[in-house]
Amino acid sequence: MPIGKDPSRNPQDKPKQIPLSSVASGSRVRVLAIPERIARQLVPQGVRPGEFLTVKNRAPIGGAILVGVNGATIALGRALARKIMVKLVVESR
Amino acid sequence: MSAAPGRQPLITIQPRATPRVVLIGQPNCGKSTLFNRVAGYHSEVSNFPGSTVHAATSSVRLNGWTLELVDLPGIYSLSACNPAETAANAFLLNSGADLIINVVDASLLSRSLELTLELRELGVPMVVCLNMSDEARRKGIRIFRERLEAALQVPVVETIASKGDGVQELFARTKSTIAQPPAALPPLTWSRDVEQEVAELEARLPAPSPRPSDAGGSGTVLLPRFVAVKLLEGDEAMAAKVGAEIRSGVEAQRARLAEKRGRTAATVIMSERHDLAMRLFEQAAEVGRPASDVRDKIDNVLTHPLWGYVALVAALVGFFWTVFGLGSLIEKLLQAHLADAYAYLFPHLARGTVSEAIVRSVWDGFVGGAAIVLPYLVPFLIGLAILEDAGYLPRVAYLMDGLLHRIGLHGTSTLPLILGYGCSVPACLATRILPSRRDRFLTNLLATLVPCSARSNVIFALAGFYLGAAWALGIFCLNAAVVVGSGALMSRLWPEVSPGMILEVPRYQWPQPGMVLRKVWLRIREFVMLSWPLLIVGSLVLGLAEHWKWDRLIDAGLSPITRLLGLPLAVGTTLVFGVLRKELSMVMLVQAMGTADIRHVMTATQIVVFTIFVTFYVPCVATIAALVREIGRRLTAVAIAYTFVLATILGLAARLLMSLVSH
Repeated sequence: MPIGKDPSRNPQDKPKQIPLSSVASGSRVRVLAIPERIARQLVPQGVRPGEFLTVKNRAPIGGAILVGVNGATIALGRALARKIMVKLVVESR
Repeated sequence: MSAAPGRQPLITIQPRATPRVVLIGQPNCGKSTLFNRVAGYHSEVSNFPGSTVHAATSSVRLNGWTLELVDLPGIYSLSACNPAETAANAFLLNSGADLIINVVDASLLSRSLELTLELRELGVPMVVCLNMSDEARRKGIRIFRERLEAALQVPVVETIASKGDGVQELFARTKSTIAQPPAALPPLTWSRDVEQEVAELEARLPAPSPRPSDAGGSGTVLLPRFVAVKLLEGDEAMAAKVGAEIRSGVEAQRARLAEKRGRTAATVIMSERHDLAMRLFEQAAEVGRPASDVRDKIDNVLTHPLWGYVALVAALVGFFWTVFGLGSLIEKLLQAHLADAYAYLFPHLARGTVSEAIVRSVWDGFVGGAAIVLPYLVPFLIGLAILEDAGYLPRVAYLMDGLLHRIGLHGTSTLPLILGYGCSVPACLATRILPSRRDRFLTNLLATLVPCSARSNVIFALAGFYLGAAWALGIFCLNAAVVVGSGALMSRLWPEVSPGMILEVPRYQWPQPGMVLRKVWLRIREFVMLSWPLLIVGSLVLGLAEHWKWDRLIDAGLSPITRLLGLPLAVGTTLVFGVLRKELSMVMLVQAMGTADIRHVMTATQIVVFTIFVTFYVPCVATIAALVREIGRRLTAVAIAYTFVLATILGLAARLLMSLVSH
């Protein structure tokens, strides 16, 4: 069961939901939903729905993704990042 | 926000003579650094989450006041996700701490406050240690200590543990808090609907009973509110402790909360805690512009999709080259001087007498330790400690995650695998940060295949010293290939969709020479105190066995293997000793062959085959014990059988290949 519907959001302005794994490095995103199973581990580390993440770097060929969240840096496996749904806030140049 | 009437205060049954103070905090917040500051160097510190995998305890005297200080593994919350966290939670809940020092990385205050709020609900007296306050300032976070103290109603002390700043004050506040335990803290409350559920459940819980303590002294009582919140969160360990009637009531309440809020009860509670933490953070801190940090630029290069790997390969090659270069230099020097020393010390011993056998074998054991093991072990451990303390290893985990995925693991297994190059025992212990049992088995197996420093010694001192550095490097590469292949094979046999890596990457820190050296000493102490004497005794036993020709029995028993591999029969005994301690197989080889120059008695093929066999076969006794503890007897037996078969096949393959090449 995905969590983290943002009640304050205007229903008309539907952001495009994309998986975190597809975001280019340098972009800034906002977390929309995290599957319950991994939320248990991610939320205490600061990755939660509504939070802003910066994609710092992406390792090549299916490697991990390095994200910055609230001053901390967390490495996430690619398969895991595929399950985290986000919307783009600032696209990388 | 007011205290509910009739709230149970913390009940301390009997004040302990020496108070027990527990350090707890999130990974990388500097608990162990603080612990070592006051307790001397008994705890290993690394800049890697999960580096403290068991509780380190020390009796500390500070200004004439004695306390028992406990350093627990870092936890993100009181809901455990892996065995290391479970251990920390169990200790915290069952052992009756007299006071908790909640160590907080001040630069990550908003996130860390969530754990602080959870800990506060335990009802144990608490002091908050705002550590790394210099890092917070650099990030532009200004924390108003008094405001935080007023909001949390517990003492808050700013420290920089790595420099020792504020540590005196921290323990002064600790002492005064223990001397005058505060009245029960009023809970910081959440939204009304959630509070209603908590209060309803609280009222149904039986009166708290004292919990047993492992020390036989006092125990802490879990407050009903804490129990109720944990139950609503769906904590399984807590649910197992209450009756079935309460459990079914809890399920109904959880369903009601989920219905009302449109998310699971666990999420509701987590969000409530988060919101409260954010409110506290906004009250107590101001966030300004961060100072530009050169470490961010360095990190951009070291985690870059291309340059990151170039740097990684350069670092590893440079690392092993330096270790080997330094090691062989020291070894040559020592060997020359020690041979002279023997001739000078014992000029009149007649060959073939019992006394000559005793003196020579004891001497060989001593020299084996000094001239063969230490030259490689010390540089390796210094290098590893520097990489660890600087915080490079989590970056390696990040870079390696994709590759490790192909062998059924993920980046988190990097630390055990790299530690395996030092010693397999801490490598096995470090697998406790892995959440899945299957990942733990696989990582344990692969970490024991990685040549530990003792086996690296054999590789350097045999293949490297007699055949050349390229051979040593080749064997290391073969080993890496076998580790990868074994991982791929095992994950075919035991496939599992693992949840994937979630690993915090800490900031870089300058390794402090004192900390590095003490860490090296801690790891080497075991060798000096235990292995070296064992080496000397082993050498003596072997010397006497040879003198009376008993070794032939062992050699004959092992002849099927040695014959199969085309090795001299005399190496059979050394393989038996190698199971006790890996470095013994090298020292014993010198002893068994009766010469320090192996090249005279073994062909190049035999040296290669022997080195490969010793690199892979059967983990040493200490590692077997660690494996049994971590993965159980059955899987340990699987690991032993696997390594033995693997070593035999590889040894045989090397023999055939070498004979093809030489003809």
